Amino acid sequence: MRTGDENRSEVSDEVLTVRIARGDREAFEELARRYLQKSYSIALRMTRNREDAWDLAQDALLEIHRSASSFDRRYSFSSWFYRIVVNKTLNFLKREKLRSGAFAGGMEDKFLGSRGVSTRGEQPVGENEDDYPTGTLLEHTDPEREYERTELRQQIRDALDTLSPEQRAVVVLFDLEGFSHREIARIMDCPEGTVMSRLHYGRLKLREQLERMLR
Amino acid sequence: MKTCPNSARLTALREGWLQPEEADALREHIRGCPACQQTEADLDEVAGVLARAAGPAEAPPGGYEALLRSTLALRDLIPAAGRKVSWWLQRAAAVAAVVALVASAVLLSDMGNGGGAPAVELSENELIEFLMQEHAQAAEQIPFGEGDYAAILAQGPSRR
Repeated sequence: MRTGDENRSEVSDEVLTVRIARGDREAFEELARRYLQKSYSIALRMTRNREDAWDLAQDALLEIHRSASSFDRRYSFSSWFYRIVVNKTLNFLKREKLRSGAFAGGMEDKFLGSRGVSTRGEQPVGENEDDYPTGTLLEHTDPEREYERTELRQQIRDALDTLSPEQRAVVVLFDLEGFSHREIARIMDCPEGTVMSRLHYGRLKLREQLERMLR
Repeated sequence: MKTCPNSARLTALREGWLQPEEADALREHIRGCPACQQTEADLDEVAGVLARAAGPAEAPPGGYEALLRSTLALRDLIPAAGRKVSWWLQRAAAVAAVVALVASAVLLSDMGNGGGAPAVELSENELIEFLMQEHAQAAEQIPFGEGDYAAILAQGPSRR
């Protein structure tokens, strides 16, 4: 026999969106739970800053609440939602670029120093072992491997800073978050060839930046 | 294929996005082209590094539950989806705010006169216009953004 919770978890995202548009508060909570982690993860990997990622993920989730009634049910909810996350993050990065005037050309992270040391009084990203959720990839307890992984992520984060916001978005979505190139084309509202090109040149640029480590 | 293809095709080949005939032609070209072989090796290397770094990202401060609670609290501050506050309700709220401001200004003015301070002479219309401007300016100067509300709400109620 199925419980009510099991039945609830089978409700599609699109149906939940319709319920949200009718004012169903539980439907919003359910949908927010489903997309919270991924939206925060994308925003964090693109911005490198926890506070910004928190605000961006939250703003994207609230956009569901604000715009549920305008969601077109012929399309996939996930593409619609991730487009909101990515667009908000890209707009944020572009505003930051305008403000700092130092995006390209190896900008040191605005909030994290060269070794990931926060200048905002918060803990550096990736240096608190408690932050890592227990996933299948991280269940081993080999401290040396864990250290290497943390170092590797830090170097990739530094290298990602040198990409344009669009290249960074494609590399993060494809290589780190596991989206397909078709999904990315829908999310970023661009041809698949553009995704291919951004991924290719983004990876080559990363290769240049990571050369010392790869040698 | 004698000349080198657009190098982005090498990523398309690597990821299996090309049609079989095109993929075969490109592989044949790569076999005889050291430059494309080098690019292919570089791409393999960086894709391997990225694959090792993939996986769950770091959780937010306080965990995902804190982010969810904060988001739900913020949601409660904004009108429900698709609903708008009616024009009449907005109008009534504006009038009520002006009436309250006028009443408090009159009260303050009376207190000032009682203390001997010189009173500023304003007509009723001037006073209303002045107060409405003050009210509009005050509304624009709310010091909190959405993120600030979220941070406050995440801390929970004050225990004073």
